[in-house]
Amino acid sequence: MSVSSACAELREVTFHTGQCLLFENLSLSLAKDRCTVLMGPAGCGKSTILKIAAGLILPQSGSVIFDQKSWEARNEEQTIAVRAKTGFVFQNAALWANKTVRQNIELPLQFHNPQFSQAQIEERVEEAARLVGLRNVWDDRPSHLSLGEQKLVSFARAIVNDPETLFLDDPTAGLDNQLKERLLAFIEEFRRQGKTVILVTQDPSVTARVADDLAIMRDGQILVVGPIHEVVQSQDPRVVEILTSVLSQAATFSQDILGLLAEGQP
Amino acid sequence: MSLTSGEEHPSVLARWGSAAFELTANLFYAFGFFWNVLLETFHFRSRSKVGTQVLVMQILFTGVNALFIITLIAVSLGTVIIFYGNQIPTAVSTNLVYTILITVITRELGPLLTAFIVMARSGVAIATELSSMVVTHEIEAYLAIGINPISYLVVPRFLGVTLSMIALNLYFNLSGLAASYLVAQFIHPIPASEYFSQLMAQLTPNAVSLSVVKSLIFGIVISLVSSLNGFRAQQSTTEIPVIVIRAVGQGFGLLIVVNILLTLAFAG
Amino acid sequence: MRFRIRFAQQVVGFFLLLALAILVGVIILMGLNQRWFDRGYHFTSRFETADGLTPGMPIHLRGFEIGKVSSVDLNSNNRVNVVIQIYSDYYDKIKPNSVLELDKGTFGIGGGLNLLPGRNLLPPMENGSFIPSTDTILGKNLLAQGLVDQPTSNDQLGAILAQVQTTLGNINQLLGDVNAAVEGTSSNQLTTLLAGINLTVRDLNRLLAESSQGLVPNLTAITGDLAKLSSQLRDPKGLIPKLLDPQGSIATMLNDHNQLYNQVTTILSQISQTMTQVQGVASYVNQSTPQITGVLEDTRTALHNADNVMTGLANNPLLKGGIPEQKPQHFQAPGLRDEKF
Repeated sequence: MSVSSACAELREVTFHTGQCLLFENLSLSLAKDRCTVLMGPAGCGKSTILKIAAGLILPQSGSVIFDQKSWEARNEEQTIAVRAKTGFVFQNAALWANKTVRQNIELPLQFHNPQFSQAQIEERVEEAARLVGLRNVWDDRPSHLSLGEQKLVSFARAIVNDPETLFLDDPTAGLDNQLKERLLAFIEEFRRQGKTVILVTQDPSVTARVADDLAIMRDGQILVVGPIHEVVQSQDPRVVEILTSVLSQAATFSQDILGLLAEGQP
Repeated sequence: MSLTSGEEHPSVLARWGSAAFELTANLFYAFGFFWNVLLETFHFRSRSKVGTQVLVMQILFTGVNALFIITLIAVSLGTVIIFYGNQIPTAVSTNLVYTILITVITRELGPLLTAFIVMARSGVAIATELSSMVVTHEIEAYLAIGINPISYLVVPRFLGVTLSMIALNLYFNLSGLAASYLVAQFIHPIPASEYFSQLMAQLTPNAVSLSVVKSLIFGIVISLVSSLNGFRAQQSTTEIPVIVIRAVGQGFGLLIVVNILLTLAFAG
Repeated sequence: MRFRIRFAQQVVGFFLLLALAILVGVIILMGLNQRWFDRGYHFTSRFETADGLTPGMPIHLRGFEIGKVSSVDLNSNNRVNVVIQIYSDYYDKIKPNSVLELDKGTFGIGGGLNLLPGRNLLPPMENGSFIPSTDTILGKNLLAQGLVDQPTSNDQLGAILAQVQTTLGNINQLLGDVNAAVEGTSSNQLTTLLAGINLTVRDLNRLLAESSQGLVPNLTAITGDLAKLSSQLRDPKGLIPKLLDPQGSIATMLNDHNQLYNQVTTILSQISQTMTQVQGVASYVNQSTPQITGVLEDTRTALHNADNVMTGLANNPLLKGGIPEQKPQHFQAPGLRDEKF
C-alpha cells in the first residue's frame, strides 16, 4: 500500500511500558477513506496501537506517519490543525470528570473555533448529541452517568468538530442494542461520506457491519491485515484460531460473521 | 515479555550507579518540564483560549479559599510575638519587637507557613487531580483534541498557585502585623501612628523583596513539584496516594531548602 | 451555585487587586518613611575603629533620627572613613563645630551615631564637609572648649532620673522642716556647732557644681541639708545628746503624737524606692557615660546620709543613742558582662 493512500502508517515501531515489552518492530498501514477494524485477544495491544497511530503515545523507536507526515515532525500549530480533523473515543470514555456533559462536548469546539458564538456552539453540541442518541443530561457530571452514556458523550465529543478521521476504541461496549444500532448507523454514514474510521473491537457484529479492512493481532504482532474478505479466507492457523475463538466468545452474535465467512467462500 | 535478561543480582556499585543515573534523569526531566511550563506560560494569553477559566478557579481555590486559615495563623503568630515582645525591657531596646515582627512575619515564617498551607491544600489537590486524570486517560483526551496538557492544565495551576502564594503572603503579613497591633492595645497601648511608623522604619526594601521573592519561588516550587509528580502516574488508582505522599515530602523538603538558600542570598 | 463560584472572576479579581494594593501601599509608605526620595546632604567623618559602625545605622540628634550612615571604609592610614547622609529637613542643624559620637546603645542593640551640633548661630556646614568624631583630637577639643551643644542626659535615663528628682524634692522639703524644727528649739551652742559644718557643705557643693546637670541644684540643697543633719547627729557632743536630754527641746518635738516619726517613716520608704530605681538605672547605664555615673555617686551619697538621719531619728525615741558606724560603700556601675542571666 502506498503512502498516499494510507491514513496512518506505523514503521518498525517498538513500544514497552516499564519492563513489559508490548511489541517490537511492528509495522502496519491503515488505509485512508476506509473503515479498518483491529481485532485480537484481550491485552494484545490493540488500544495501544490505536493510540500510537493517533499520536497520543509516542513509541520508543520507529516512526508513525499520519496524513503523510510523522507526528514527531509536526510543530504545535500543525498538530492542533490535525487534531481539529480527528476524533478519538476512548475505551473508558475518558470524560473530564470536573466538567459537565455539556462542557465536555463543548471544549473541542471552543478550542478549535474560538470565533464561534455561544449559540453556534450550542447548536453544534446539540446536533452531535442528537446524532449519537444522547438523552438530556447536559448539566450532569460524567460520574453520574452509566458507562454506556459516558461512551455516548465521548462519541459526541469526538464528532462535534466534524472530523475527517475517527479513532474508536471499543465504542459499543456497555451500550444496549438500540444505542449500538444507532452508533453503527452513524459509523456507516460517516464512512459513506468518504471519511476514515479506525476501530478496535471484540464485537464480531460490529466488525461485520462496518469493517472494510480487518487487522488481526496477537502477542504484539499483526498476523494479517487487508480487506475483510481476504482476511477471513486466510489459511494461517493462528488467524483461523483467533477468528474461531472470537466466534465462540460471541456465539450469540455470530450470525453476521458466519454470514461473512460464508460470503468469503468461493 | 521482559526486557531484562536473566542476569545475576547487581552489585552495590551497580545499584548505586543506576540510582544515580535515575536521579540525574529525573532531574533533567524536571528541568525540561519546568522549561516547558515556562515557555507555555509565556504563550498563555495567546495560546490557551480556554485556560483562563481554569486559572480563575485555581486562584479561587488556592488563594481565596485559603484566606481564612492563613489569616488565622498570621493573627496567632502576631499575637504571640507582640505578647513576648512586650516582656523585653524597654531599656534594652524600644524597637526590638518591631525587628522581631518583621523578621518572623515578613522575612521568614510568613512566606514559609503560607507555603506549607498552600502545599498541604493545593499541592495535594493538584497531585491528586492530575494523577487521577492520567489514570483515567483524561490527559490523553486533552491530547486527542489538540490541547497541550501543560498549557491547559499545568500553566493555569502554575500561575494560579504562584499568584495566590504571593497574594496570600501579603495578606499573611497584613493580618499578622495588624493583629499584633490590636493585641498590643490590650497589653500595652501604643498609638497607631507610633506602631506603624516604627514598623515602617524597620521594614526595609530588602525584607519586602525577600518576602515577595520567597513567595514567588515557593509558589513555583509547589506547583511544579505537585504537577510533575501528578504526571508520574501510569495506570492504577493505587498509585495516587503514593504519588501524593511523595509530592508532599518533596515539596516540604524543597521549600525548607529553598527558604534557607534565599535567606542566605538576601543576607549578604 | 455558591456565590464564590458564580462570581469567581470578580472574587478573584478583588483578591488579587487588594493584594497588589497592599504591596504598592507598603512600598509607598516605606519610601516615604525611609525618605527614598530625599537625596539629603552628605558629610564625612573619621573614627578610630569600625566597631559598632554599620552602613544604614541611624544618626540621632537629641533622639530624633536626622540621617543615616551611608558607608564605612578603612582608609590607607588604617582609620575608618565614614560617610553620612543628613535628611534635608535637618540640614540646618548641622552647624560648624558639630561632632559625631558613637552611641552603642544597650547590649549593642539599636545603637547609632549621635550628632552633637555646634553651639553657634552660623549657617549650616556645606554639603560634603568633614564632621569630626569624638575619636579625633579635633572632636575632643571642640567638646572640651564647650563649643558643642551636648544633651544633659541619655533619654532612657532621663525619665527615671526625673522620678528620682521628684522624690528627692520631697525628701528635701521634709528635711528642711526637721532642720528648722531642730534649729528653732536649740540653744546658741547648737548654732555654733552648725557653723562648723558649713565647710563640709561647701565641699559637697563644689563637687556637685562640676557636673552641671539639671538634677544638681536640687541635689545640692538636699546634700547640704543631709550633710548638716548627719554631721550633727554623728557628733558625740552634738545634737543627739542634746536631743536625748530630757530637759532638751527635742522632747517637746517628739511629744507630737509621732507626727515627725511618721513623716520620717515615709521618707524611709521613699528612699528605699529611690534606691531601687537608682540601682535599676545603674544596671543599664553604659560605662561610656561617666557623667551619669558621677550623678549617681552624688545621689547615693545623699541617700546614704538621709539613711543615717533615719537611723538616728528612729533610734532616738528609744534612747539607744546615735548613729551606728558604717563602712562607706562606693557606688559602682556594674559592667554589663557581670550581669548573671
